[in-house]
Order: sequence, then C-alpha cells, then structure tokens
Amino acid sequence: MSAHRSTVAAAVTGQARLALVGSPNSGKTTLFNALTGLRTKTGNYPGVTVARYEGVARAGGHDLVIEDLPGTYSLAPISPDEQVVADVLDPDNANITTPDAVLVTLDATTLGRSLGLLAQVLQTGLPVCVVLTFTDELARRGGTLDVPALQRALGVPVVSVTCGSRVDLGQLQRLLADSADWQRPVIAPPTEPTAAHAWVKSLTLRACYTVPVADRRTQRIDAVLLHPVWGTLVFFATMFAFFQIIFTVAAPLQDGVQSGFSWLGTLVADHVSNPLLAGFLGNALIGGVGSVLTFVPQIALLFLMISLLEGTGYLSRAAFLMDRLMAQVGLEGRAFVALLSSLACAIPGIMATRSLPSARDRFATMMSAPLMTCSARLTVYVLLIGILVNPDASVGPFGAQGVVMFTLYLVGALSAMATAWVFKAVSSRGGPALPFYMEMPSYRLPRARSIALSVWDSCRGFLRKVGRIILVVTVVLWLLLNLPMRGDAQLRSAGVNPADKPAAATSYVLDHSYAANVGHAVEPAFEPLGFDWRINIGVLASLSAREVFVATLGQVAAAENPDQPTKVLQQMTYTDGPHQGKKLFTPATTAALLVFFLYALQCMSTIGVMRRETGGWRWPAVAFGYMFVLAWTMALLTHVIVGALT
Amino acid sequence: MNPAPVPMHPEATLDPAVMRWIIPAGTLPVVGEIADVPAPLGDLWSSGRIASITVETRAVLIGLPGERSWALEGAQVRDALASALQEPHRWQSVEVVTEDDMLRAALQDVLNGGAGDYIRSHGGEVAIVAAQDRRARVRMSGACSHCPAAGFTLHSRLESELRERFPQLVELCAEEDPGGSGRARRPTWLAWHRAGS
Amino acid sequence: MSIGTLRLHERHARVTPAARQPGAEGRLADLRKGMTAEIVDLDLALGDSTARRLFDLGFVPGARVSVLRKAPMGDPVILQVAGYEVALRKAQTQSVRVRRLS
Repeated sequence: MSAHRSTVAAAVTGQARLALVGSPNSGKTTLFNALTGLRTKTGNYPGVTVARYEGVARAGGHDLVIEDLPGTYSLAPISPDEQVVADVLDPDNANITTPDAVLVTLDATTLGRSLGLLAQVLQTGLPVCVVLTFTDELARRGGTLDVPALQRALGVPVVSVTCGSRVDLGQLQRLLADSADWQRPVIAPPTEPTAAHAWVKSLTLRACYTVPVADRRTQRIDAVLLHPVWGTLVFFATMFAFFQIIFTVAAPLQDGVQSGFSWLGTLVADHVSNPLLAGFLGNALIGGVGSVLTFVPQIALLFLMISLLEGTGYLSRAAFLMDRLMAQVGLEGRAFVALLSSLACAIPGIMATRSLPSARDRFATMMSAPLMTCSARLTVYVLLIGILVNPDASVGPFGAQGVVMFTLYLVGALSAMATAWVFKAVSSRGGPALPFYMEMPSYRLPRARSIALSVWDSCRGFLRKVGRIILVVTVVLWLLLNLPMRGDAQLRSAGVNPADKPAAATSYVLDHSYAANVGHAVEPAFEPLGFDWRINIGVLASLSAREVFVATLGQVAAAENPDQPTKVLQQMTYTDGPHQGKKLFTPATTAALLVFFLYALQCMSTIGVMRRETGGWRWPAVAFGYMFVLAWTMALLTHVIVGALT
Repeated sequence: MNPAPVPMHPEATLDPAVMRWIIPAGTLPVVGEIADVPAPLGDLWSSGRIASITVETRAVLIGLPGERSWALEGAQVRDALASALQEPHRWQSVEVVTEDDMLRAALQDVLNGGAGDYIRSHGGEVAIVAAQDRRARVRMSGACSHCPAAGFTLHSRLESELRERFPQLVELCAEEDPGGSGRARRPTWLAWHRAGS
Repeated sequence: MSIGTLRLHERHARVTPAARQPGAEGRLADLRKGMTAEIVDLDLALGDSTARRLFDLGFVPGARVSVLRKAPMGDPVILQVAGYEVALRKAQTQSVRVRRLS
C-alpha cells in the first residue's frame, strides 16, 4: 500500500479535483460533509448566480479537492443551478475547470429514476464512481439490490455508503485516492430517451433490483401531515412553534450574550482611563459589534430548525401545502420556504432561494424576501411602538401594542407577496415556462453531524461577513458622532462646563459633530416625513444594520438622561427649523418612521448576500432602489394620513 | 409502429473483442452460434464489421474483428442489435435448436450465475444430468450432499431461477451424490464455446 | 457546448407513439386519488424542455403512475412514479396522456 501510495503521489501534479453529482435528496451533501468535514469554502462560479462549494478530502495519504455541485435530475439544464452542473461536466467548456473524476450519488430507493442521470454523466466520458446511498432504507423497506452485479453491468466502481458508517467511508476514500485507475465503461449508455430507458430497465433487471411500491412509514406519516384538515392544522402548529422557538428560546441566550458584553463594557469603563479610547471600545466595539453578535443564537436556532425540517423531509411537505397559495402571486411552494426563513433574517431567506429551479422565481423571491419582518426590525418596532402606543391601550381583548406589531408583520408579508407578483409579472416576458415538480423524499432522521455542520457553517458565515460590515460602519459612525474633537476650553467658551455636566458636553459634541452636519444635509429629503437631523443620523446609520438605529437614538437620548431614554425620546423636540420647540415624535412622525423601516432595505449584510447570490451589483442595487422609493413614499403617505387624523 | 425497445446493456468480457449484451431471458427463441440475423445487424456481420454472434439464454455475445474497437463501434452495433431484437423469429442458429437445447442452455446459465456461485462458495458442486421434455435433472455433490439446505432452499432457488429463463419447465429434480467424487460430464458445448470466444 | 450536451438538448421525449391498446385513455390530471395508470405519451403542449424534464423524472411512456394524494385545493398532486414520490401541478399533469389500469 505504501509503495502504491508513493507512486500515485509522484504521478499526481497538483491536487486532483473530484465533482460530486447527484439528484436532490440523494444524500450528496451528507457525503460531502462526511468526506470534507470542516475543510470547506464557498465561492461563485464565473458569471452565474450559483454559489460554489468546495472542500478538501483526505484520501490515501494526500489531499484532493471535492466540489459539491448543485443537486440535479438531469444534465439537460433548465435552471441556473443545473446549468452549472452541465458546464462543469462539459470537457469542452473552457470557462470552468473540468474535474478529473466524478462521484455520482445514487439513492438506492429511487434507482429507476437516478440511473437516467448516471447515464448522462457516463456520456461525458469522465471517470465515474458510483456511491450508492440509502441501501439501509432499501433493505428496511424490503427491497433488493445486487451491488456486485450492478458494478459489473455499469463497468464503473460502485460503493455502497451507509450514512455515518466509517467502514464504508474508508472504502470510498481508498477508491478516491486513485481515480485515474477507475474502471471505465467501454460503451457509453445511449442518449435517445427510449433506448436510455431500456438501458436503465436492463440494469435494474440485471442487479435484481426491487423496491416496494411505497414506504409504509412515510405513507402513514403523510396520511396525517398531508391530510386536507389535519395536515393544514399541523402545518400551522409547526409554523407557530417555529416562531415561538426563534423568539422565546433564543431570548435567554441573547440575554446571555448581551450581559456578557455589558460586563465587558463595565470592564472597559473601569479600567480604561483615556476617555477617547474608552468611548471607542465601549460604544463602538462592544456596543456596536456586540449588539449584532447578540443575534448569533437566533441565527443558529433558525438554521438548526430549518435543517431539521429539511432533513426530515417535512419542508417539502410544507412547500407542497403552500404551493397553491404561492401560485396566486406566480411563485411556487419552495419560495414559501425562503420567505418563511426571512421572518428571522433575510440572509438565510435569500440563500434558500437557491433551491428554486427558475431564475425568475429566484429573483422575484430574493427581491421580496427583505420585506418580510426580520428580527432586526423587531428591535426598532419595539422601541417605536413604545413611543407611539400607550402600553395600557387595548383593541378589543388584545393589547394595542401587540395589534400594531401584528399589523406590521402582516403588512410586511403582504408587501412581500405583492412585490414578488410585480417582479414575476415584469420578468415573465420571454423565457420558457418551467415545470413545477418537487420530489417528496421519504421521511428520514437527519444526521446530527450534517445538522451541526450546517449550523456551524451559517454561524461562521454570519460572524465573518456581517461582523466585518458592522464593525467598519460602527467605527465610522462613532468617529462621525464624536469628531471634530472639542477641548475643555472650547466647550467652556460655548457655555458648557464638562466638569459639571458631562451629559451636556456629550450633547454639545454630538450636536456639532460631522454626523450632525450630515444629518442636516439630508434634511430636505426627510423633512416631509417629519424627521429631524437626529432621526436622519439614525436612519442613515441604520443603512448598515437596522439595529444601529436603536443604538444611535439611544446614544442621543442617553446624552440627556441616561436613566430613562424612552421618556427622553417621547419628549424630544425639534432643535431648529420651522417646527422648533414642537414635539419631535408626534404620532405622524413615529408612524412614518415605522413604515419607513417596514419598507427600507437597511441591511448591508442582505445587500452583500444578494451580491454573492446573484453574482453582481445589479440586483442588490435594484432592491435597494425600489425599497427606498417605496419606504419614502409609504412613509410620506403615512405621515400625511396619520397627521390628518390626529 | 415503433414497439418498446428490448431492455439491454453491454458488459465487458475477458476478451476485449467480445462484448456480452445482456437481454431478458426468453427474448430470442434460439441459443448457440448464430447463422443469420435481421438487418442492419446482419449487414454489419456480412460486411465483416462483426466477427461473431452467439446467443446465450440471457445475452448476445458479439465479437469484433481484431482491428476494430468497441469504443468506436459500440453505439452503432448497439442500435443495430436493438432493431434486430425487435424481430426475434428472424434469428437463426447454425444448428437446429430444439426445446431440449433451450432448456439445457437455460440450466447452464443458472448454474453459471448467482446460484451456482453460491453452491461453489460452500464447497459444493452441481452438474447437469439431463434436460429433456421440459424436465431437468441435476446432481449435487461435495458439501451439498449432507447440507440440509440443499434439499429445500437450494432446490427451490435453482428451480425458480430456471423457470424465469425457461417458463415451460415442468420440474427440476436434484439427486444427491453421497460419494462426493462423482464427476459429472464434461462441460456442455455452451460453456466450452464461451471459454473459446 | 459539447457534443454530449447538444445531444441531450436534441432529445425528443415523445418518440414513442404508443401502440393503441384497449383501456380508457385520459389525462393524468383527471385521475382521482388512489388510481393507477400507464403513461401513453407526453403532450406537445408541454414544450420540449418540460417534456424532457418529465422524462428524466421518470414519466416515461409505458411507466406506471399512481395518484397518492392531492393538496387541499386539488392542486398540486403527489404522484408515485419510478419508485418514488413527486409533486406536479395541474399544468403538467394536464399534458400527460395515460391509460387507466385500475
């Protein structure tokens, strides 16, 4: 073995590249995770909108690169995802590196269909190794398959890999080490459909393949979960539990992270004597970046639940139940999953659009996903509703604050649907109509390892990409709010005594900061909505992340009365201009602000993810533009209507 | 009129010039060396682009002349074979094939396949004694003779596999050879032919 | 585009005008829950790419398909074909011609 290993190592110049091909639900990504573990990276294919997943696997003593291609049913592509698979496997395509060999995952319970995809892969002439998955499920359902006979009939290596079996994996890894030596079929399978079907049929006969008509367990579960009445009830119960878990279970975890950062803050306040450095560390780093990190538990929980729902097979059923409703706006069941995720955060929602076969559906969903009320909007809503609505007021048996909150969620969801419909209607001109089809996989218990990896991957991505943006913006914002620097003498000459009233000094610095200049500069644009320069700073700063608005207004308010910032905000008045002295947060202005936040795309991370998923700046620019115009117009309408009513 | 194609796929043999095309049992009414096949397979043959055609119970063995390769000819031969299989009655063997010959070939195919492998892997031997009038007789020896499984499990497996290939089968008898040394007859002409091809 | 990809694009999934045999012919969309049928062919109205995809999903002339269940409003439906379950909308099942078996 060692001698063999060294000859292979000598023969191979550079790392071997293997592509992983398989239909959706064939256990492809589970296999990818098992082979590569944490050694993965994501990127983009040149010029297309599909994310590229690569990982490094260790086989036979050296590393090789494995590329997890999107799941596909055919190499005749009808979606961008599938186009990528066809391009990668096309040796004549000069834009993308063709892999040295291909691993094809075949779900043993759907062999009758998946052998058709294998036939198309074999026609490329690349070395192929077949990985049979779910053979344990086949046995459980009473099916049979003669694996050595299948290998003989195919003329390529066939390995059966049971989920989580180290022995199977070891066998596969040994095989991966020398893909150049894989047996290849002398004659490629036929392409003509009926001949290809005859080829598949002959193989299944040869390999004594039988599979029971249906999985009893799945049938029994579906009898309830897809029942017209019970299924719908279970669906709503599941959705309710989904939000309950995101908002309630995450709360103590978020509090934990938050108190951790407060503790760090007091540590800084106690031990850093330089006021500038202490302000930077306390407000910018810990206050700004820390406030974003408190969302990590929510993101982790969300991904945990989505991968659980997906791994068990329920997500397909939910999409099936919602398909008719989504059809009303021209979308399909799978888009529902993306919009559902967006209620926690638009980022996983946009990432979930990858499963949509149609590019038009994908863009329409991506454009509407940021309108769903995300958890970042929640923080702003809580603050503003607190100002707008008396906590004791009620509408019927419900608290008025809760009703306003529910209305905002509803308006967000309806606006998202309307937007999807508009984008779908605009883009529907030209392009072929794509069929709707969705496999209903058997219910399966997802692997803990796969779920953990998915959660870890999303948290890592969130920390990396979002953390960077928030960090930069917070630092810049802090600088703008605190510069130019004022010496004590300067403050005294302006009538402020920094020794007696530190809050007044902070307020003076704020009022005369660069940020204030910016806030005043954009006043003409926001004046019709009733915003003053302080709100403008908050709105501008919140373009990076909505939570920043809360932090900014909090900072402004804390300068006057650190103990009761909400009260300060309620009593805040215009400092200059035609309304000088009048109350700033009138019902009209507050409502306008709420509506502005409902529609505006104030999230750099969303824009960043959109750019990554669409492969360019065009779609993020479109989204930002239309949402800003919508936000401004709707906020103006709200300001006028609420102003007339009150 | 374009009837459904016959399920088939190629499997390589030890001889790179010979390809075994697997077809369902009972597709062709003949076995053994072939004298005539319908066009366009017949045309390929008469023009010398195919060297030999032999039919087994579940396969057609096609040999190419030495200078030709399956990688290049494969697709064309496949298409020709596919259309020839649509006209099974036009296939003619060199020798007159009786029903007994079909039965014997089917039985040999069973013994060459999974069931035979199973017996051999357990140290047993099984040989054809007779194949006549839709009845077949085999002799089991070696480890089989005192294995309780031989009587029932093995017999029923052999019989059902044989019936798949030869539906007219009346019965399959298995006799035991307690001596264990009883060498059955020489390999049949079919097995010999396969070794030679 | 390689020759192989071109060939995949040029496939015609409707090459088998099925031999007329007895049995009630109809549309897949007209089958009720629990019914089984044999696919006769795919309608021209589907368009080439959709027909090819349905073929790749296992909707092959001669294959058996049964209706497992329907969504609350009757659309989409879950079908059993080629040993697995797949949901299709009425727009597609309307264009699949079948012969009822039970």
